Amino acid sequence: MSLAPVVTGISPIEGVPGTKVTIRGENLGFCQDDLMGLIICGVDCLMSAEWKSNNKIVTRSGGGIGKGDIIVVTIQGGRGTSTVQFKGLQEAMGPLKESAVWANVGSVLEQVDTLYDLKCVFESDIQEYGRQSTEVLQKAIYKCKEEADKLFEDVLHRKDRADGTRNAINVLKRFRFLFYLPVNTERNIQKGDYDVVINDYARAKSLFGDTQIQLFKKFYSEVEKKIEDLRNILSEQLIKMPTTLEYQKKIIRNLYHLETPGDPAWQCLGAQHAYILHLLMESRDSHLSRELADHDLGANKGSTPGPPVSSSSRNTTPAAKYNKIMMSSVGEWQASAPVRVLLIEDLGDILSTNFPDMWKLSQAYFGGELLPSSAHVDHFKHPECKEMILELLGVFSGIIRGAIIPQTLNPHGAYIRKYHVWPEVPLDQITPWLPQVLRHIRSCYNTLLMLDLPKDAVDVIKTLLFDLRVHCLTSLFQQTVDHLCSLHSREDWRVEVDDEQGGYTHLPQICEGDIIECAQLVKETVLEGGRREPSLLDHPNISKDIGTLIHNVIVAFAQALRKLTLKDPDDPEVEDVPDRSNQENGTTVALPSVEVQFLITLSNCAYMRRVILPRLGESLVRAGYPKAEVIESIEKSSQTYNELQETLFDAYLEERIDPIIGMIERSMYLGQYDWGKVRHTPTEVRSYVKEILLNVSQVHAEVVAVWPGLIPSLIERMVEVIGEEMARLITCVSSFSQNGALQAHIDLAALNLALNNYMSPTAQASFQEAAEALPKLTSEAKRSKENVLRSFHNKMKFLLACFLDLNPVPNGEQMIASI
Amino acid sequence: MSVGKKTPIQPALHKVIMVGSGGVGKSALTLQFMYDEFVEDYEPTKADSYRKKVVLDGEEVQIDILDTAGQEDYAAIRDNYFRSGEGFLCVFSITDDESFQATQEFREQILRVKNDDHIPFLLVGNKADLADKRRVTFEDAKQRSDQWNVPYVETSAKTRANVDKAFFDLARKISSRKYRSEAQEESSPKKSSCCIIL
Ligand SMILES: Nc1nc2c(ncn2[C@@H]2O[C@H](COP(=O)(O)OP(=O)(O)O)[C@@H](O)[C@H]2O)c(=O)[nH]1
Ligand SMILES: [Mg+2]
Repeated sequence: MSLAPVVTGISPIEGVPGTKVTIRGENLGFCQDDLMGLIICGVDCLMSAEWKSNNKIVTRSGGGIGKGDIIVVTIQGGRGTSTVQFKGLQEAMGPLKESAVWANVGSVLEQVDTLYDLKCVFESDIQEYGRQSTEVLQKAIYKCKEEADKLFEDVLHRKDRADGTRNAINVLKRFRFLFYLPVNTERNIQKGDYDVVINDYARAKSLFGDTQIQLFKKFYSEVEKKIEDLRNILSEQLIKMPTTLEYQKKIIRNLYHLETPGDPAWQCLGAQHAYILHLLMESRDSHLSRELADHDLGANKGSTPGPPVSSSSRNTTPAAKYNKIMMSSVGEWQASAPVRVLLIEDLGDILSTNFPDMWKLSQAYFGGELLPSSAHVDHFKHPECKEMILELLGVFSGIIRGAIIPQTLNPHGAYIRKYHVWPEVPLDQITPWLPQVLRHIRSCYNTLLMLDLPKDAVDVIKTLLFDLRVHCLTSLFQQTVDHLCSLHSREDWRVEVDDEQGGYTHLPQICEGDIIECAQLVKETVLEGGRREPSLLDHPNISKDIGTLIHNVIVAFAQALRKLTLKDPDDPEVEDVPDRSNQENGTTVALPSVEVQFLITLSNCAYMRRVILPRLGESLVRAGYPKAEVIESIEKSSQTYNELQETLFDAYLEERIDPIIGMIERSMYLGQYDWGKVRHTPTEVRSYVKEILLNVSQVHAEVVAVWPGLIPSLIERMVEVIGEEMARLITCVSSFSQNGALQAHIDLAALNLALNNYMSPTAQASFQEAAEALPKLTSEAKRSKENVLRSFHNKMKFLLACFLDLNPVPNGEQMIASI
Repeated sequence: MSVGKKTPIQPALHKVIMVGSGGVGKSALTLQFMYDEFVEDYEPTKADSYRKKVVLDGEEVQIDILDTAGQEDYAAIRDNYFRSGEGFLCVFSITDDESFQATQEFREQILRVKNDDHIPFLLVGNKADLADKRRVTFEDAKQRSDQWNVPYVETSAKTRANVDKAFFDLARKISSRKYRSEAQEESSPKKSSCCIIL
């Protein structure tokens, strides 16, 4: 391959001697010393040649005139060739080239020359032909020459002036750009046309940057001053917030173009970081002081213990409150939302609007997008930038934790004092808003997810979200627990008996509805989660917790039921329960007796176990709650209800049976009755027996109205106790007269007859014991006993009917015979 | 007169002229095409000349480029330069609407000087790499080029995108036009009209 230089480009294509020329081509040597010659239009220009590269030489044209080649001679390639040509212009002609005046002068000169030639011809003619003819002519010619000279002088004079003006104009034209630049720069800066300013500056710099001419220097330095102003303006604007990412990028680029010292992009990042931080903390502080003011106000007003809000809100579940919140207008929302919920909304907005830009700016910075192509990205700033990002997210999360879940702040960490600054408020004020809070944070999280942040940055919000969800989960359940615990206040004692299975009031269904509502809300807002959020159910601990929460919420109602009946003297709240249900319909409704309340509650317990709990279990599983945990907690709570049921059963029994037992002895010995001194043959069952039966039948009726199914076991137990008491009383009698013994036989038989259906082996044994303690009857006495019993049966038909399963026995004979 | 002196094997010479407002990148395009280099700084051109041998569709040709000044200061001398051009790259910067508007004037001047509506001509939108500073939409430029019945190409002297394409497309047009006019001279008008249809 030939190393012969070849010139393929020339800039400019023409010029007067001394014009700066850029020569481009190939094989132009590898250093200055490789250049052996440089010929333009036949004139050597090596002296001024400046070797730039193998493709480029800059020189000044020599005195060669007209079009000619540009020949480069190098050590390696020798004499080269040229595909382009340079046109040397005559120096003097240069400024005149475009001049019409010069053309005139030229023609005048030509005319003078011609005249002179003519004169010479004439003179030689005169020598040949004599002077006369030429003398006149010569005069004329001289005159002509004089005129011509004058004309020429004139023209030359005018030409000089024209030249001067033209030169001045040329200079002005070429440099008016510079002369106007300070003014234009100022104006463009004011207009905000920074691009134009930068462009002009670059142009001025390349043209006049190292000028030696005083005038230019002066203007150029003025431009420099203006540019310095602009740098300052831009630097200020750069850190002024809020602003847009595009604007920031633009300013940063401008600053780089203006060769501003420092690292504007990095400065901007820092400013943005500080700005967001400031916004977050400011929002926190302003909300906090609002809440503290409200708090003080509330504390002063509500000097009575137990604020009225709390007790009335007790009647609504968090889910119901949540639904109400969701349906409220924006205005109501703003007015009713707790200050810290508003805070979180605000924080979320701040982060979502400002953070992405900062992140994108940092990405652009490290991607080198903002730097001039010559600069290098400073990767050592990476950790620092990440630090800033983590700090912002950390503060964001810290403020929220401090306001809503301070328990999740590390108690020994530095953050606890910084963020745990909120006054305690009752759980129920915040809880209904938690799903909304979650929604805000979740939307923030989604915004961040789109940014492709580093994992540990995303994790800050991810764990915040997780903790909030867990908190929301437990709070909603806990609130429902509180609510259900106080459900007793809504008991109206109106019993519905659907079948023999037993009756119930509206409370169990309210309880079921509330639990389902809570579970549903939790499921929708907390458990399911959003994009890139783990389901809480997959978390083994949480899954177990959910089981416990379900259990708690179910047994909470048992607590309410317990409060309703088994009064705890330590609990003042229970006192006002009857009042409340009294006022329900405005008119005073007679409350059922305590015993009936026992029964009803007892029946509600049974109803819970039998109907509500299985149904609840199904609903929860259907809603997606973990089956094993649900079943376990349902079973466990069923036990609780069972225990309560038994307690109530015993309590009722006690309540009912104690008076009966007390009555038996009193009634038996009324009027100093003495079994040993009975004179007359008995003709009737004694009235204490009738009293017993009447009492039992009353209980029977009471129970039938609530839960007929309870009767067998209940009455059986009563009969056992009655039997026991009878045995005790009879065995304690020291002596029986004959008639006394007969009377006792009759009484026992009557009880046996009436209570036969409910006679357990234990009861039977007791009655047996009593009967055996009596002297034997004669057969005559037996007969009169049967007579008395028959008449007893007839008289007491209706009373007895109730003991015989509501079926009045048509034939009393058989039964009496069997006794 | 010089025909006799020239070697007959000398490849065909196509004279291209760069026109357009100052600062749009005419010189940058030229230097990129010629020497694969991108010049960052802006130095107003007066008139520069370049010539390069290239292989165009298998045939060696010379492309002669006259890079002219866009500044109006030199508007008066442009007529002279334009006269010698066989094809024109009319350049504007997609980041500068004014430069786009100016193409209209250049077009008119060329048509006036060359007095030929079919003069090889490409509308070139340069600085395509500065997408975020774009002020002239592709559609607007395309619409104008359609109206003139010339191709439109977007280039970047910085990334070299479409630089060769612009020069080669123009050279191809110049070349095919030369063939056509030769053919026209030789053949009957009937045939030539056939060519035009083709
Ligand atoms: N980014 C970018 N800059 C360019 C491009 N073409 C030219 N320039 C720049 O624009 C300025 C003017 O270019 P120049 O070629 O001198 O324009 P001319 O007056 O039309 O010859 C110079 O600073 C170039 O670096 C391009 O395609 N992309
Ligand atoms: Mg140029």
